[in-house]
Amino acid sequence: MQRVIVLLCIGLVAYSARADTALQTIERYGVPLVAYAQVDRSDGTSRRMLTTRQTIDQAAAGEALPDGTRILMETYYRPGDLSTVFHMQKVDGRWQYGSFNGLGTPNLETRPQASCLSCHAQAADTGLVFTRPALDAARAFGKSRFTCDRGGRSPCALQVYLEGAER
Amino acid sequence: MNDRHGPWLRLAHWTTVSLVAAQCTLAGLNALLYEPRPVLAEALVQAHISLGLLILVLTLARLAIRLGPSGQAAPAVRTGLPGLVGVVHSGLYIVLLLLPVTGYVKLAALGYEIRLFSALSLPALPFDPWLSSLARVAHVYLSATLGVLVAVHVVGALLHRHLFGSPILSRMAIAGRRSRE
Repeated sequence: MQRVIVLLCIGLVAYSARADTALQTIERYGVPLVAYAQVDRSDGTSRRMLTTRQTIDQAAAGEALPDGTRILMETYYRPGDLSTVFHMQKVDGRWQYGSFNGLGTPNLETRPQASCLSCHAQAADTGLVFTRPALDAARAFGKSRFTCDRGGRSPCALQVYLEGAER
Repeated sequence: MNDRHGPWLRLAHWTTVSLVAAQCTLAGLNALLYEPRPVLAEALVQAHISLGLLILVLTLARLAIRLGPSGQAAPAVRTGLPGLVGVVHSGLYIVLLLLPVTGYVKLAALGYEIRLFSALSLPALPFDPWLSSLARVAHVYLSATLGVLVAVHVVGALLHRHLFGSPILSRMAIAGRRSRE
């Protein structure tokens, strides 16, 4: 029995270590961030989602994302070709949005923006965060990859994020 | 006999046509530009919101003119499909009223304070993402419905002119010689 418990513990530690190493903390835009999801599109563009490790832990605990939560989305027209960086931050219980050129000076200021909210309205089931399922699963399973069947700049259907993760 | 609609009704009609065309252009440009030019895209959306209110006010004004006692509507013309004409006209009015309302609810139910022409503020609604999501879906389908109704309206007008020989196009003409029955 003791041997089984020891083996289980070793397995659990090894599994935790594997998941943790999959989520490396990187310094981006002056903030320590974790890349928890990537969305590849049919036209070769992609998006990388980043947040803080604290947010990963809060999501893993099943908590509502508190004020101060920040999520960033890097857009790439080709691999390595960083374009606009979009970001959202929760302020007074509401999401605010901002953006900056990924090759320019980071600007992490946010404000309520109709163009962003119009699109995020379709993610009502996941607290207006499209990749919330990937965020919830990040600590246990590492980075999620999604394939979006829509090219161009059309937002992917929420179903892609709910059911289409490869981990 | 004057077979044209009153001048205010004609002006309101063509102003609505121009505003709807502008709305489609703004929505299309926003979809193209929000990723490479997000600041410009936000400005386009703000214009879309403000023009939406204009369409709502204009549509209410048109309804008031048509239904009011001032006799602004032109006499009825001979038509092969009277039922369909009524459905299309009523549908256009209903969609033009509902599109701005659903657009407002979509944003206001997420706590967004809508500002029209950077001046007039509309109140936010109680935070309700599902209501917002519902309004978003309705806005999308109403936009598609408007496209279909406009197409039927235009084709119908041309058919009446060329198939039934009705002087229907001149009823909404902005200027030009008045035709007589």
